[in-house]
Amino acid sequence: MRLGLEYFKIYFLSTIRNIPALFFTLIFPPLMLLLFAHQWEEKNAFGALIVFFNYSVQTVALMLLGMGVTQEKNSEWAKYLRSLPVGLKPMLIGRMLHTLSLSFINLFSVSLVALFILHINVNFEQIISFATIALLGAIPMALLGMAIGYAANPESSRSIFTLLNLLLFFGSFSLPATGIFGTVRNFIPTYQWTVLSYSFVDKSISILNPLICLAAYSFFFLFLFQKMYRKTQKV
Amino acid sequence: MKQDFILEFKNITKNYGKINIIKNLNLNISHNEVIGLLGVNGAGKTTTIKMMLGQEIPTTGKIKLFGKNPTNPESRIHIGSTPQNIEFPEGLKTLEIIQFVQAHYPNPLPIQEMVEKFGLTNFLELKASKLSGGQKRRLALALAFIGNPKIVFLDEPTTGLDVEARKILWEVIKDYKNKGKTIFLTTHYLEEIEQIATRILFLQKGEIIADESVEGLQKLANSTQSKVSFDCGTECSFEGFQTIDSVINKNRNYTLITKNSDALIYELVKHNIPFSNLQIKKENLESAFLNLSKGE
Repeated sequence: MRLGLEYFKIYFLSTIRNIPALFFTLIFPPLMLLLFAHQWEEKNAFGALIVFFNYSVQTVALMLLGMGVTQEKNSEWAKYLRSLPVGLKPMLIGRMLHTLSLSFINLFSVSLVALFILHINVNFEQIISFATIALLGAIPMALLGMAIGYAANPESSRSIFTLLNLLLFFGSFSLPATGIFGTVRNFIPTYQWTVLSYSFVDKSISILNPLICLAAYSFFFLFLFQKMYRKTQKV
Repeated sequence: MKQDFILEFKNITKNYGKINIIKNLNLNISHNEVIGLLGVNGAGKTTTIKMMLGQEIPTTGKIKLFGKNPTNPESRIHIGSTPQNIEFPEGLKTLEIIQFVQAHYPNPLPIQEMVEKFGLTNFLELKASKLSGGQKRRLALALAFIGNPKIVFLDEPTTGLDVEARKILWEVIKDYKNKGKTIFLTTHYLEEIEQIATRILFLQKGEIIADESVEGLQKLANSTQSKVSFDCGTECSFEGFQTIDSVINKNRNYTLITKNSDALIYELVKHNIPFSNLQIKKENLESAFLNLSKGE
């Protein structure tokens, strides 16, 4: 665990000292909320807040982390780290803590926009609950981001992550409830993530299905990540 | 009784696609050795070191580092390494990188000791990615030793180092050897390695063609010879000389190749050869290296 914290420290310091990267990480999700929230104006402000809470975490966990992994994996520094007496676990702990901390910063900025600019009627308890669920969702998203990050090459990773990030974003709320899409959306992790968050507002929604689904995805993405990671080590 | 080796290579081959980089490599490394791996560019030196560190997997054969597969992190607890090229991550200060690497080892050396030894005091608060090439090399060397390893792998460690830093490195290596530890390095500065290496491995086209002491390698490469050169006011004849292997004459500047320079000087005086600017150069490891590279 101590080594995991050391990894977290270097990932975190590298990011917060990179001002342009930090600025865009912080500005992107609240900006998206500002631009799109009017679509839900007077209709489903909670829905908008939930979707953008989750989306802000998804952007950090899936896109930023995944693209970072792709760029870093073949660097001389990454190769040097592989000569140190360390297994996968501390690095994984460091990456997860790094993702959670950046996601937390993002959620904070989204909350400020929701409360003070959009004046969404949401109380502190609701914000804490939505944020907690959003942060929980960071786990499968980060594992997916790292799995793809290790599998993709630097040339293709930007397109892959941009497309996937958008598909998962729209998949979380915009698919119709009937027909083939009604069935398909149950298999989209971000949809289940939204349902889990929404269960806090609508007590009739069962949390069992989304929890099972997200847990299953987490294990699957962890397996996938380990496989991809080991593959890159076997040069 | 079975000897306790630090590292064992058994029938190792490494292919990149259809290209065979390393061919049937067998070697053992023990405690308290300073081993120089020599070979021309592309001979397979870096690939060999990477396989030793678990960074590359051999195509066939078995490697054991402290009795374990080098891909197992536990096998790397007692090793330190410096790669040929290293780029540090953006945003991290020199001290933070040292602290980070030190945290990986159970019995590391004090940071202050490494900082002083490699002259890093003035750079500790600077971002490592912004250091000059020589400063980065010094930091990389400090990282190789900070874990108090039993064996250190150094791939071209003196490349990019200034004279002072190079001197420091050789002192550190000598000091390390005196503590009974092992150094495995590749270098092009053969005259330096000649002074400290206990064993030289010569790699050519992926094969170890010599595994000898410095003296043994010189013998193997027929480099026990000396070059005796001098200027001569007139055309000289060396008829009747017993100790000359060959003669090169460039505008009355003569270079005589001999296995016994003392006897040759005696003969020059005995035959009243009017020599001036006399120079005697013993063949060194560099000559051996060149001779072996040429396959002589």
